[in-house]
Amino acid sequence: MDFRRTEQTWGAYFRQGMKHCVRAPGIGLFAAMSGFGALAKDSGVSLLIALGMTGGMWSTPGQVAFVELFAAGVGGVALIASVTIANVRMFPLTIATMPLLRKRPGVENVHFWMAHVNSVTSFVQVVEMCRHVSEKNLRAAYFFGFTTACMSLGLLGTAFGYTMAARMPGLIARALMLITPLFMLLLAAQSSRRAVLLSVVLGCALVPAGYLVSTNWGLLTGGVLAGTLAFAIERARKRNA
Amino acid sequence: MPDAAILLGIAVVCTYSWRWMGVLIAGRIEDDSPVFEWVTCVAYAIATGLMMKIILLPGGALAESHLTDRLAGLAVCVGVFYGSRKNLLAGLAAGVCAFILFPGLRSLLF
Repeated sequence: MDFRRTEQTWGAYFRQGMKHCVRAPGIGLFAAMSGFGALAKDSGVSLLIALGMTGGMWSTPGQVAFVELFAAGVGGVALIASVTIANVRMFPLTIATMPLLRKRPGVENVHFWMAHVNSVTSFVQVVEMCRHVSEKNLRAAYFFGFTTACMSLGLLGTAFGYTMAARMPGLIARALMLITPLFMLLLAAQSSRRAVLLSVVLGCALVPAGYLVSTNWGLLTGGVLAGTLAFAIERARKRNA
Repeated sequence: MPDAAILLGIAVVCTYSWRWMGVLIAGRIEDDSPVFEWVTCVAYAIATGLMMKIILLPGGALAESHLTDRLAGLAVCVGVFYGSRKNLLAGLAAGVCAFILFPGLRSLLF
């Protein structure tokens, strides 16, 4: 990331953020959201609801949990509880992001909007950008440029996947639906933290198993159990080391 | 479908409440505390577990594909990902291509 030739203005940093999004992060995001659009179409929700999920939730695990459980006819309470817990990552993510972007300690109205458009993708990008940019106002400009482009590509991807899923031959449409699962698994596998990788392995075993036991609560209980087990195993290993 | 719209509304509010709490708490709490370590573990387990569930036990149109085709896609995806020094887009593209090509290959072999 090079900012030496970027003008020191809000607009220039906003545009720089947009440009940096329309590369690997944006392509990945567009692909993942096309996959989500295809899954949403298959689950029977309308295009407007699918776009509302991308724009309103802006968190892939919760969005996918919603359409998966909705298609399986899971009841309201179980669906909302599963979606909410699937999106719990947004809590520590917001806490980690805000200190990098705000001008001074304390809460401003703009922070509530920043928190909404933030995502794992933009957090990773912001951490890297902060190594090169120290002025908080320019950091915010870059963040808004990057996330505006992300959100636009996400909404476009959702609409693309949703409309294409119905128009493509079966095999290609099914391949579209496989994109989001593969993307999310690789995204998690990029982590270098042992606790995260152990959570991934245990989650991949216990969540499908839990789903076989209970369609309503398997996702939630299997996931919480797997995550807690991974956490406990890592704690014990660190203590013994 | 008003049912889905109401559920969506509640889900959006519930999801935003995490971000809202994060804004209020940010700076007053360390983001490397054991509680967050646990939250992160649970979040990754649920997210990836759900994705694995879609690959192993899909509903809807994806269920019309063969389990071996989906597993072949996953295997190629993960293999290319690690073979290309964790290049996400390369792994993703290879996995999707493998899923599309494997049914043809399977009918040739078996």
